[in-house]
Amino acid sequence: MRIGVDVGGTNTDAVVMDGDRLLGAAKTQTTPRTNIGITRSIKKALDAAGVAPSKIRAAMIGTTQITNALSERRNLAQAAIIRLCLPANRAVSPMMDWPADIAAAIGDNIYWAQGGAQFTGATFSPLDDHKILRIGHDVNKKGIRHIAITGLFSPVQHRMEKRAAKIIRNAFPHMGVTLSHKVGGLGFVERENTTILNAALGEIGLNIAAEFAAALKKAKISAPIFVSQNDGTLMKANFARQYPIFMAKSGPTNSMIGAAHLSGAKNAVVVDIGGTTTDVGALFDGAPREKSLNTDLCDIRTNFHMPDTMSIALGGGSTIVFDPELRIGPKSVARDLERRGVIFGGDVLTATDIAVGAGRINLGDRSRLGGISREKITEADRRIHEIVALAAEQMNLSSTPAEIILVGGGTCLIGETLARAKSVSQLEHGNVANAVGAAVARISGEDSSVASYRKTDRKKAIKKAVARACRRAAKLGADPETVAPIAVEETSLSHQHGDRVRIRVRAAGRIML
Amino acid sequence: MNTETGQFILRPGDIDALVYGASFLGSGGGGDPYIGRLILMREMEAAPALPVIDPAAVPDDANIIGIGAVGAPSVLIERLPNVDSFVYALKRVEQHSGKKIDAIIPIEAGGINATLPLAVALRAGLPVIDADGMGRAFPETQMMTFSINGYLASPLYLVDDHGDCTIVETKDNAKTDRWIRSVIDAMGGAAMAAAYPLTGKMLKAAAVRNTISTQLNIGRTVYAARHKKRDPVKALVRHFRDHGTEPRFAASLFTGKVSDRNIKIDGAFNIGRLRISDMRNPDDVCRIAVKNENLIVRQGGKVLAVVPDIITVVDADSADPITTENLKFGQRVKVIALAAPDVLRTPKALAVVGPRAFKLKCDYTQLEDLHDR
Repeated sequence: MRIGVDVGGTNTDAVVMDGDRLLGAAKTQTTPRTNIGITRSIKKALDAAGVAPSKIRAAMIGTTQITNALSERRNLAQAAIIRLCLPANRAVSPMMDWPADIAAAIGDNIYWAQGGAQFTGATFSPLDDHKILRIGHDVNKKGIRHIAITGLFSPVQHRMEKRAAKIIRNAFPHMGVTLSHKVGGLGFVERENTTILNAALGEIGLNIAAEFAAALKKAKISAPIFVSQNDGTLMKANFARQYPIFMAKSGPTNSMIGAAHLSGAKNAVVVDIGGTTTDVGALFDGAPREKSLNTDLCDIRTNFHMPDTMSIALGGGSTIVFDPELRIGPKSVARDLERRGVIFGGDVLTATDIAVGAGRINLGDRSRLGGISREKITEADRRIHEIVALAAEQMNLSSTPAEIILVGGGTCLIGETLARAKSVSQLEHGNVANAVGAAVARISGEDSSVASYRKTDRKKAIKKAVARACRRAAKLGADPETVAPIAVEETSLSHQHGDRVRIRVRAAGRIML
Repeated sequence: MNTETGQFILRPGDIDALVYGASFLGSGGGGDPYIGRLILMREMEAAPALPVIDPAAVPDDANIIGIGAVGAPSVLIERLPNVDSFVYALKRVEQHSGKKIDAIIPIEAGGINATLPLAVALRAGLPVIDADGMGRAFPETQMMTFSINGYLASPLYLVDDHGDCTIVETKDNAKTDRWIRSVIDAMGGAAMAAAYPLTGKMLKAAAVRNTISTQLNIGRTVYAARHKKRDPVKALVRHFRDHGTEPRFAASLFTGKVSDRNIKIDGAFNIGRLRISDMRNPDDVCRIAVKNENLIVRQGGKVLAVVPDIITVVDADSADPITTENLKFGQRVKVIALAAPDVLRTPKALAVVGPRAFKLKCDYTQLEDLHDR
């Protein structure tokens, strides 16, 4: 049996699952020290399921803390940025087009050094060990504890990044070092951006991992901890601690995986309605659809896998204004809904009030809505449906109307039909879809290599790369019996027809219990 | 040449509009202009004013050289083009010819090679000519108007990050292209190139004129429309059709969702087909054939636009041009076409850059003849 937890900005949800079956679920408020809320939620879910903590063999946790820290620029650490690429890549400096406030938080600690590889994996320029050590001393003297190292063509050959890390760690064991080949593929600027962000999230990463460990200990669970990442697969907590950037944007992915699991749908649009925002994404063959090549995270170009979701400012707590014209959101009373919403005796008209007024749900005191005309309620209710229908249509892959699945705490806003939708469904336990998504996610491994199709047969080269990715996933905790490739990408590196190709394979499998 | 004759000065505030225009003229190819934008931003920090010269004002005896990066797009996003190496190439050109370079000309008007030459000009302290050799992006070097006019790319200088150099000198541009492709691997998959030494006279005979100002106008039109919350695509079409002395026919051809994307990497090329379906009537589709750039748009049996006319796919909401490698399944897009510059529409040019040169089974019909004016 295993437990899935989702730490959101408002609520912390937990589910207890046995295989594919949900045995118990709980929803509690998120606490400032998250471990308190996590423990509370886990205990409630275990009670609901009638399961003893000792029966839990694995704990899977997803959190929005990284996403929130980035968008609110909170608790970002100063970081040193080392480039191993001289004499190349001088034409673009690090963080050039970043939002100024994030760049300022990270600081102007940029170091250039020789190093890196050619696209063939051969040395581009040799690493100067003494120079790296001198940089380490300088960084340490400044009191900086996190370093981002990006080497030229490191996704093809990472030897120099590793050697530089070793030199620094030997001299300064407390230093957190992020290596770019661990966070991204080819595309120096995008990969470096991701590396720097990860270094800046170093302190939060340590903190989140510590909170998780404390929460599980208090809940008397001694099982290994896995953490949800942005592509919808799981990583070990120890890896998450070092690579917190992969926790970014995991929330919408988890709700989609949870919706897929609870509904059995393979192709559908998932609408996750929260208190302030609604995330809309698409399931394709049972998995969240990924964004194309480059994705922006807080207006910073990155190149890692993220679900293709759109966020709209609509939630259960969204404010409704009629003066002079109907306006919905973007403000929200969020977790104060039960104090400030009209039906609860407050003075802020919210989307939830409209749902109650339109007879979609029975909540609070409906008579308090007396001052608002029937026409206005109908107009707002219709607009809310239009907004969701339009977003769902934009995320719909196919040219035929989509099956729409509603999840999250705010599903009561929407009725049984939406324009241009094949069907609209709400799910049992849909309000804890995120936690379910965390609990049922697969463990993934990646392999990136360069092959010459002149020397090696293409099919053989891909087969070998797939085998390496599968072994990697199994090593990380996936059941080898269930591991299968989830993505195979070939990128031509050469001008010459059919010559060098980078093969990137991701494989994932169910957790081995 | 006197920089006083500069037609206008390009400033940091122009970069976004310029990059938008370069992406638009890329016709789906030319590579992601993001890196080019960063490189230009950085050079503009040090030197915030670049003189851009009208080709008509260039003296016949001026010495001009073409600048651009050569290599696989996937290498150029990792080992970024290097401005110092371009400057070194310029120095070698001057040493070799014994003549001082007076100005730089971009080899193409679309993608990353539209912005790189401007960064190089800033660093070298040279003006840039408001012209180029393609007026858009094309997949092969002999598709330049300079080559169509019979001018040689040689001597061509390829410089790497270490400042090491290969010089290619042939009497045949197709041969030069083949030699570049074989040496570029040994140089690490990409290199900084200086090619097509031109005199002012040759420039005036062969260049596609006013491409930098066209890029700027395209970008400014879109930004202004966005600012006024108007439809940028409509604004662009109107801008081209009404453009003062040199109107160019333009049309919004289709709006829909990418419903099939079958594009494979073959050597240095992205080759394949796109299908875009109408949002409300999925049986109404348009199809685009691609070789790095968008070559032809068909709807049913009817051709809507064909190379060398410029065919660009933009995001339906933002109107941002989308390069072929960034297009994704399910994306909501608009297809826009723009008449190619006249120099690309002569029989001599069409033999090199027309539909038959891309093995398409149709003859060239001008965009304006395919649509109601």
